Amino acid sequence: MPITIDGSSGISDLNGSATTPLYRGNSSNTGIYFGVDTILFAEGGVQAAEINSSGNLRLVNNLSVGNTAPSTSGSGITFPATQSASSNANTLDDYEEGTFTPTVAFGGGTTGITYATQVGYYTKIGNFVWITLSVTLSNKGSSSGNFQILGLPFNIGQNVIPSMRMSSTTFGGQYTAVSQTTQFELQETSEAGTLSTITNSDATNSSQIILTCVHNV
Amino acid sequence: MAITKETVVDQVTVTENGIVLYREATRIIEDGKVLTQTYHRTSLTPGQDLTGQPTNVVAIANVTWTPEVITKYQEQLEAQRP
Repeated sequence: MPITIDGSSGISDLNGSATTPLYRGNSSNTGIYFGVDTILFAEGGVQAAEINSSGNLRLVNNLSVGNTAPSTSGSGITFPATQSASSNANTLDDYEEGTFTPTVAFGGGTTGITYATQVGYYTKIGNFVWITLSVTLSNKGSSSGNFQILGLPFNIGQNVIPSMRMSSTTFGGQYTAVSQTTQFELQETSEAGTLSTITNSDATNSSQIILTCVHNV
Repeated sequence: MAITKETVVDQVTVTENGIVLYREATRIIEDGKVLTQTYHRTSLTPGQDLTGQPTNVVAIANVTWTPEVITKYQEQLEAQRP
C-alpha cells in the first residue's frame, strides 16, 4: 500500500542508525539516518559522512574532485591525475607529488659525466612547484660550458624564489632558473659584485649540488 | 587476487619552445583496482640526448626538435645569461 506524505506533518521521532538507516535503498545498511542536529550517511553499516548543525561536512575518509576516484589509502583530497585548471583565483585545482631525476650538463654536453647520487622530489600545489634535489658527481666528464642542471619536473615560469646550498665543490654561487625552461644554470658573484657563469673548470669530480626551489608554472 | 605492477607514460606535454615533459605513473593493481600510484617526471630540452628515453617520447621529441627549434632554444638560454 503506498504511503502518501503531503508535507503537512512529515515523519518524526525516527532516527535510524548506521546499521539500519532510516532511508535506504536495496542495501539494508546503506542510506541516510539522523542524530541530534545532524544528518548522517551510512555505507555498509558504517558511518561514511555527516553534515552537522553548523553546516560542516565531515567525511570519514577521502574527498575526490573532478569525478576522479578517491584514494584508497589514507585520508585527504584526491585531485584528477591531469589538472583541470580553474580560472577562479580562489579555487585549488591541482595537487601532485612525485620524484624526478636531475642531470648535469656543461654547455648542453654530457660527455663522460657520471653520478654518485641523483635524487629529486617535487610537490605541485595549484600553480606553484616546490623542488628539492641532490646531485653528486663521480666524474665531471669533459664537456665544456655553463654548469647546468636539467630534468626539472615542470616548466619554470617567472618570479622564481631562489635558495640554494652547494658543497664539495670548488665554487660558491647561486643558480638562475631559466624562465620558460626546465633547467637551472649555476652562477657566482664576485666580491666586486660581478655575476659570472660557473663552468666545468669550476667543478670537481665529486661536486655536489643540493638545491631547493619554489617556482610558478 | 592478482597483484600486478606497471609503469606507463601517462602524460606527455610539449611546450611552445620545444621542451618535452613526460610523466611516468607506477601503479600497484589488485584485480584491476589501483591500490597505489606514484609519479616520476622527466623533462627533455631541445637537442638533448634521448638515449634511454621511452620510445613514444623519443618519437615526439624527434618530430618536435627541428634544427630551427633547437637553435631558438639555445638563443633563449643565451639571452638570459649574464
